[in-house]
Amino acid sequence: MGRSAAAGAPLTGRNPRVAIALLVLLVVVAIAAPWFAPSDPRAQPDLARIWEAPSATHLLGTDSAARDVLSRLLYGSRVTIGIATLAVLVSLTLGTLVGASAAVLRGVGDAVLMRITDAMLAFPRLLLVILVVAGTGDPGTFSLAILIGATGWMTTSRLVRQETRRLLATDHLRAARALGVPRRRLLTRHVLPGLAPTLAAAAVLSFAAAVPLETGLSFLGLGVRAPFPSWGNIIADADSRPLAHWWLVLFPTIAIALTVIAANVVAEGFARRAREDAASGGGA
Amino acid sequence: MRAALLLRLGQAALVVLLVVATCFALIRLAPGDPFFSALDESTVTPEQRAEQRARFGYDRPVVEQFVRYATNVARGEFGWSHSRGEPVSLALAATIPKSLLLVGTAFLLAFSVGTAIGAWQGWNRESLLARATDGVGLVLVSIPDFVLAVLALMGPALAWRLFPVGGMRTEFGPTGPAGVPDLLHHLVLPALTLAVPIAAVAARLQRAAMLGVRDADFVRAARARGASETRIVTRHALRNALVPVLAYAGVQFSALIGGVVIIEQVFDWPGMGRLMLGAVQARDYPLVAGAVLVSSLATVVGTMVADIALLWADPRQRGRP
Repeated sequence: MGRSAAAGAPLTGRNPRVAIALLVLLVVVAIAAPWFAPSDPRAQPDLARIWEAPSATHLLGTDSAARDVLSRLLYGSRVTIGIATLAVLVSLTLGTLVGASAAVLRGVGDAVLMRITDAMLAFPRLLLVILVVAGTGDPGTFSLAILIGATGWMTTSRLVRQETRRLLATDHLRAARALGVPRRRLLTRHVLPGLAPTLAAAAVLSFAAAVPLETGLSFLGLGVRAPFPSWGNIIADADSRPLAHWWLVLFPTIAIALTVIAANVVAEGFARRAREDAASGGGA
Repeated sequence: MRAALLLRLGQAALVVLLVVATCFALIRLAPGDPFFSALDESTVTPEQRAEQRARFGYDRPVVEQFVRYATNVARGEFGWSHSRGEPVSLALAATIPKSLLLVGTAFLLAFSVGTAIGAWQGWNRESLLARATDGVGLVLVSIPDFVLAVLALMGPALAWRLFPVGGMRTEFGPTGPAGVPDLLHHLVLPALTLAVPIAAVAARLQRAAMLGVRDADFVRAARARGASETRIVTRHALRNALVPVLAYAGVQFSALIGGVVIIEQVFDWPGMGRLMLGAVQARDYPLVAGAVLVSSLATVVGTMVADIALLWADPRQRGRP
């Protein structure tokens, strides 16, 4: 029905390689945080030194409980990137199941699955998550990731459905079917590998949506809660006086913005490539 | 056309039913008893509890409870808000107009400004300014709304003191018609923050659509007929290029309904979003459920209006399921 989940046009002249490098760097930083970080992100060494501006002892300052902001930012990347990654895995799995089933089933099954997808897509994701968080109290990091993933599979399922339908109509799949390859083998050996580029694009898109959602929830006090660090709850710590405590806003903001911009640029790169492939006669 | 409309209606009904069911599940499954959360558990005897539960129908089968909840909701009764000590419907009625003012302003702002900028960018693709603003658009799409809100608070409100830090009116300020300028002054920052990401998305869609029609045959034909450039843009190109933007307006509307929760919280705007977050903190489940229900109804209606506008604008969509 002509609605695209991937909002936006191709942008000329932006290099996805730089963006990919940035994302890889982020993951490395997240994994290596314990070796980088100057101190424990939850340690409160000296409660007299709360809300200190950046200095030589605390490169990015301290927060409301005298915790080192640089350490919280580094460990926060583990939490934020980790949750987003887990959420992406959940979204991809659900989205692939729904999208591929719809494409294979066709007819009524297809219609039912896609109408459910449309319905979910029309519902504000944040409200759905708030509703569940309200019911469970404090969901914990793992459940939060699952919840974010479970509310974000719709883009993937639409992309996967479209691509699966296209693949099923290609010559080599028709040939495989004519040769009597069983359905299950057809899906696992022929369709699934063909879906890889689509899944990669879908993964980046849902990553770009998961990071703002998690940081936003943590900012509101409904996601990751102190003393555990997330890029979102570091900013929340400055909420009462953001200008006076600017370092609590500035550094996480840069981290979030760079991550999401990089993911969006990579997604654009995928989209452009898919369009070029289609234009050069790659597809049927 | 009729089939397509009926399908949209059916889909909307499905969404509403799902939301009502989820809200019901929240109230039912939430930890703690709905009546005794505020009381000391040990002073309540099991008999008293059973009596209370029976009084409010909590001993009935789940299906019966659900049907009653759904019929109550249909009548506009969402239950009792224990954190505010008033019916949920009253609490909602007091805040809904304030949220609507914010969402409505942002929506109009986002789509008028966003489509205008995007159309200009697409039409003047080679212009350096168009490329530069497109880069700005990418950044704006990528920054989460709560970050934008905090940044807006830091710069224009706190550092430059151009706008109030929060709230909807100056305390003890003028009310009634005399208070309108004050209200608008308070409205600027939250509405802008809410509108900017949506406008950026709308601009990018509009830009892509304009690029698509720029070299289309009907545009060349119009030019060959000697139509003025303004007429070509407004009457031919823009009209066709609006379709993808309209197609996305529904989804954007749902993004607005989610975004307003965060914006209201940061700017202390006394709307339904802030009410909802307060209710989450207070574990006031009927109020949370009521606010979510009303928001989703608003989303469903908004999405439907957008879909119908799309059917009207693009006859090709009518035949499609």
